[in-house]
Amino acid sequence: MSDSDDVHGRWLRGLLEACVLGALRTSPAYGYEIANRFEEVGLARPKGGTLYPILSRLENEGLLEPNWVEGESGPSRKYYSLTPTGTAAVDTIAPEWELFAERVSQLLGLPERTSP
Amino acid sequence: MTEIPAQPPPPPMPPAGSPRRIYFEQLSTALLSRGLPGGRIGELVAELDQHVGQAGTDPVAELGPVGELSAALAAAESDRSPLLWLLGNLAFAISLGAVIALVGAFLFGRQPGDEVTVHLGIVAYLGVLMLGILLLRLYGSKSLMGKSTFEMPDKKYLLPYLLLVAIVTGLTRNLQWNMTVAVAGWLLVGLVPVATLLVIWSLRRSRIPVPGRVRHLRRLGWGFWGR
Repeated sequence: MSDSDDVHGRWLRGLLEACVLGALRTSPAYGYEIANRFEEVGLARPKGGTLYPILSRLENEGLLEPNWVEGESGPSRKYYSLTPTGTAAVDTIAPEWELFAERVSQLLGLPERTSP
Repeated sequence: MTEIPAQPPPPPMPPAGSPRRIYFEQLSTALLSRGLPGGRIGELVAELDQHVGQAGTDPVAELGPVGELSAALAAAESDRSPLLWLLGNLAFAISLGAVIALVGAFLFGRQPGDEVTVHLGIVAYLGVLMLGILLLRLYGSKSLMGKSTFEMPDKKYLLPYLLLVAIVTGLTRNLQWNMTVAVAGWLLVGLVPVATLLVIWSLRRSRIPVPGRVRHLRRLGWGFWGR
C-alpha cells in the first residue's frame, strides 16, 4: 500500500457512508460491486467487514432499498439502490462536500478552482 | 437478470470443515447470541459468503474477526428495532420491580405455606425506579468515566419510553389490581435466589434471556445493546 493509499484510507473512514451512497447514484449494485466502484475511481477498496455494517445501517435508515435479484447464471444477489430519501441525501451531501473541500484547499494554499 | 421476491436465498454451503464454513458457522452463532433473528442472519451470511467467494480471499482477511464483525452488524441492526428496544427496557424494568417485590415479601417474614400478594402498582413503581438507576448509570458512565458500558440506539426514543412507563404506572395505579401470587413460602426460597441471579446476570451482560423461535435461548439486549 502506498503512502497515498494510506492517507486516503484514513480520510475515507469518515466519508464511507457518503461514498457508498454516491457509488449507487448511477445504478443499483451489490456489495462487491459497490466496493469495486471505489477502486474504479482510484479510492481504496473498502473491506467487506467495513462495508456491510454500513450497508445495513443505510438500509435501516431508509436510504437504501435492497432487492434480491436472480442472476442468469449463478446465485441470487442482493442489489442495493437509492431510495428517494437516499437520492435526496446525495443531493445534500454533494454541495456540502464541495464547500468543505474548497475550505480545506484554501487552508492548504491551493489555487482556487474555477467552475467549468 | 430476473427479479425474484424479496427473500433471502438458501444458505450457502461451502465444504464442511473448510475455514470459510467454520467462519460463517461461528458468525451465525455470534449473531444469534446478539439477538438477531434467524432469517436476517441467513440473509447476511448469504450476502457475506458471496462477497468472500468473489473476493477469493480468506474470510478473516476480508471481513475481519468474527467478534468484531458480529458486533458491527448487530450495532447496525439495533437501530432496526426501536419497538424491541422499548419493550425490552419496559419488560426488564418491570421484571426487576417484580423481583424486588418478591424479595421484599420473602424478607418480611412470610412463613412457608403463606400466600404472597404483590401489588402491581408497587411493581410498576419499582420498575420505574430501576429504570432511573439504569439511565443514571448510562449517562453517568458516559459523563463521569468517559466510557459508556451501554449505548442507546437513539435518544429520541427516550421520551416515548418514559411516557409509556408513566402510562403503565398510572394504569396499574388506577386499576388497583393486586396480583396474588399463590405460591407457598418454601417455593419463594428457591425462586428468589434464581431470580436474583438472573437479574445480576442480565445486568452484567446487558441482556434479557427470552425464549426464541429456535430451540436456543435468544438474548434480547434490554435496549442498551452491547457493542
